[in-house]
Amino acid sequence: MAKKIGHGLIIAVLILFAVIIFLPLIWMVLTGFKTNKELFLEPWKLPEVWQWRNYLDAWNAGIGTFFKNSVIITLGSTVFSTLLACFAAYPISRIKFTTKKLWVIIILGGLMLAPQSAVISLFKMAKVIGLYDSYLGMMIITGAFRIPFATFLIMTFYKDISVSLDESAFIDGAKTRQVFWKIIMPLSKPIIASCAIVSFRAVWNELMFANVLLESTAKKTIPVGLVNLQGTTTTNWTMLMSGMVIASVPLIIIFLILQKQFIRGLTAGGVKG
Amino acid sequence: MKKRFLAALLSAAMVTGLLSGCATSGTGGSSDKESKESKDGKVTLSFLNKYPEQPYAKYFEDAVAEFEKQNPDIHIEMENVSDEAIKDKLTVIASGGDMPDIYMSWTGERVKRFARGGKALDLTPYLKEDTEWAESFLPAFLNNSTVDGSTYAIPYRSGVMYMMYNKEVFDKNKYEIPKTWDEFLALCETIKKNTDVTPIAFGNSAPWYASWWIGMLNAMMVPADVINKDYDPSTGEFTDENYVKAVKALLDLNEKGYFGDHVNSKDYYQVREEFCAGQAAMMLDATPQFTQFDDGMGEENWGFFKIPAMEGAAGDAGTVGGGGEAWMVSADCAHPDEAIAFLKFMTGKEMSDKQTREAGLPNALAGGITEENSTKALADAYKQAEGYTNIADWLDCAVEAKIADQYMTSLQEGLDGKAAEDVMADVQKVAADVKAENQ
Amino acid sequence: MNRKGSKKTAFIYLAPAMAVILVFLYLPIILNFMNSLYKWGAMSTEVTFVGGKYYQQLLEDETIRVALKNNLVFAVVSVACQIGLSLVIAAVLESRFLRKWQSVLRTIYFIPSLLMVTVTGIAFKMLYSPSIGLINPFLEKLGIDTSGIDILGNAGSAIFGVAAASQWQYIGYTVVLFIVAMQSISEDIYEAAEIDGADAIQRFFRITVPMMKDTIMINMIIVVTGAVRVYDEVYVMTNGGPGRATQTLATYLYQVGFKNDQMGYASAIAFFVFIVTFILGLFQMKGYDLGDD
Repeated sequence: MAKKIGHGLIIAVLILFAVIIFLPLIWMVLTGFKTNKELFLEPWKLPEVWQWRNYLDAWNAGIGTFFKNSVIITLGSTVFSTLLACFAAYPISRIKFTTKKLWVIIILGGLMLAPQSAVISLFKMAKVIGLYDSYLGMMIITGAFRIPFATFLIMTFYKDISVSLDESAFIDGAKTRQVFWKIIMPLSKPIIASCAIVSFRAVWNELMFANVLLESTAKKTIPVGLVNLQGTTTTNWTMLMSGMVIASVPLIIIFLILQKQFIRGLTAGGVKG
Repeated sequence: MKKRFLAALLSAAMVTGLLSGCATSGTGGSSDKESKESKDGKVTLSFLNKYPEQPYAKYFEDAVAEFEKQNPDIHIEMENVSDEAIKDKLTVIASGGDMPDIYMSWTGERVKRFARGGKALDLTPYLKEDTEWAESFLPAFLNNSTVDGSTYAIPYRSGVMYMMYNKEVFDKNKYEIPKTWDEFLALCETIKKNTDVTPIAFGNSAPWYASWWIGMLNAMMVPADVINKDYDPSTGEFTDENYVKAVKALLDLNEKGYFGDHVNSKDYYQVREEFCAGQAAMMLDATPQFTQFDDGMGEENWGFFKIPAMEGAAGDAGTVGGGGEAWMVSADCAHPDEAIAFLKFMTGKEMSDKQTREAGLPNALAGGITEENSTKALADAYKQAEGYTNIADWLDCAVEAKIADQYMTSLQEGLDGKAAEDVMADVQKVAADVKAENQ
Repeated sequence: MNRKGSKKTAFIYLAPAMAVILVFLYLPIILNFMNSLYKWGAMSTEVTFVGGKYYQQLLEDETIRVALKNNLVFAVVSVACQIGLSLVIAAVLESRFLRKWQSVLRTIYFIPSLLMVTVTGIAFKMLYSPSIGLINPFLEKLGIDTSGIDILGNAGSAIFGVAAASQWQYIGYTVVLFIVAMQSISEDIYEAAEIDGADAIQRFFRITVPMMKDTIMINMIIVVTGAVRVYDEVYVMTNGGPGRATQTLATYLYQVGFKNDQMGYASAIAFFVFIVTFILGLFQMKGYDLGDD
């Protein structure tokens, strides 16, 4: 009985927490339907007249135009960084070799770099090697900043996959390549999925590099488009809000799709224990 | 297998080698800046502008299209970046070496820093050659882009500061428009005492707003020659005691409660909405925002008046706060003649007229704002502005960036209780550093 | 294992990521360090060698001290919430009696982390506002005198306001990362422990935490380095103000470099940020199993 009450209490707390998280989200969506005036004078009331136009205008001004660019860059960057991270995590977690510690520290060090500190140098580099104002440049540079974290995430997962799996494959005469693609990668779906969502959200919302490394309007991403809705004295905040709400919809959909991969997808034998 | 790894390493090494060459060169030579002429003899000019929002964007797109139609040999590649983002973007681009052929900046120090850095083309010869063009501008805005007698920017948008007021609040209480600073203060006191309306809308969570005020107060209270000396990075000291008085004048308004509460957590937008809703009686703003007030409260419900004169103040009474936006041509521009042709087109009578009418952006031409191309209020504001002889740029555009930053930071602290003397002491310290650097 | 070719194989798998990391992450830092030895600006034509002058200036700069303090506040708050609290929430969500709730709850918790920081910033600015917000009226209901409370407007409280908004946004993010890691812990271990009579709290500390050591470590590094380089949240909500009360290393670096055009000094700050995070990272990594021979 006491246990039941305890469980009930825990559920209540978790639900309260969910409400605290959820209410501002609802507010953001509602604010998108308001006017600037309502936002600043009566921020917590429902809109008097629902400004559907905000969402439409935001789509036309900041999102629709740049949607394609954001998708291309984010997909490219995510695939690029996740794939390289999968490669890199493999030897670190499953092969014994002498200089490993050094490489781990190098990757780890990459976690610590503030993009702000690299932006000027990267801008100059991008110009020299022809990556300025190109999709490829954005994919590689934003991807590069995702690799360290992705590698570490994947690495901890690889470590938990039973070593006996690939050892028996090696005994059967399999090449490393086969072990990697046929055994490790299929087992890694959950981590690849969570890694992908983590990278995807970071690149999708990335502003600084997109602003600095892309020049032509035809290549700009959604966050740049949204910043372009902000003027010192001319911002339509509610339209901006609706724009940002729309911009996060694809991410939420992707999360909902990918999170299925996180759920207990592992065969018992594939897990150490 | 080994080969692939080696190849990867090699290409990485090559890239490294390539890059180390350009490591520290702040103004690295630009390789891709040669003639952009394509085979058919068409000239392409890159143009960095700051109006991505509507209705402005449409006007500029149309204008560029019209120019290209009239000049089939010139292609203009316009990029629009919002004013929040363009300042950083210009810095990044400048650090990379090559500027767009034509780019915008704010008149005053923000133009001059490009000129001093050798990033801007001296436009004086072109203005001398075409005196009609040179004389078509409001002199104050053209003159704000001058370094050592040379002009580096062509103004296309002007802004003059006025005090907006809510007509309903004024009419209901039978307030008179204050002519002098003392009358202004007395009015604030009356409003504070007798109504629940905030006398002046003021929000400084984004500190540029206080820099508008202080730029204006400095112009009113500090002698013009002192300002000219101090706003120049190589001679600026800000030791004149009138600067302290100006800061004090601003902080007094806050301490007396004329700005309402919590000025540091309110932003410009919030107080503008409060003003529009009649929760504040007055608000300092400038002509480019007139359309915002029309939209926010209806043309008939707001008015404006000249900033009340301060008796006995040491400043130049003919100076008003404001500022302009201007276009500059890159020093490396391969086709300056075409660039000038474009600027002449954009700032000509016809396009300026259109810019004001269609986009609501006040142009910078003498007599350029009329009731035909704009609202009565705007035309009236520019008529009244003819009495002014000089424009004091918004302070964040008028002084060197570090000094502006310190000024705004310390003012924010001042509004939170820091003494005016200490505010100026902070500024003086930075100004001394800047002066030493620019010797 | 095919030990003979293993080193070569290892390098083949490491090479692409290493090349990218070295070129796009480390090279800029090296260039950056070189840049920090010169006085230069985007606008100025002169480039003068100044040696270590900027590093000396950095040590004397009061704003750097303020920034370090703010980064520390951010780090402490973030570790407490995004590691401590998140871990507990994740463990609770993984309890068997909550399985059917988990999917809904973790989705809700995760959604804020998908938003742009600007949205969160605007929402919390509104919540905190003493004139139109909800926090002050709420405190008043609790009987607290709020006349002096202006969360983002007062120098003393502003950084906490910003940090709190950031926790709202990111707690769910680490919760999900922890859940992913917890799912690779075999149920058998828990069952065995349960049979031995260990209660939920004991199981949490004796099984979950030790088994997740690696993941906790990585998230810790992420959260701490994230706190040292926090930028967006501050930029949107206070832009370093009032005064310089909420400047962080990253916002100050940006201000100095891009607004004030002191690129040399900004480069020095950037390198300093790298050093700070690197040392912190190494420190945290001490407990980490690098898996070397």
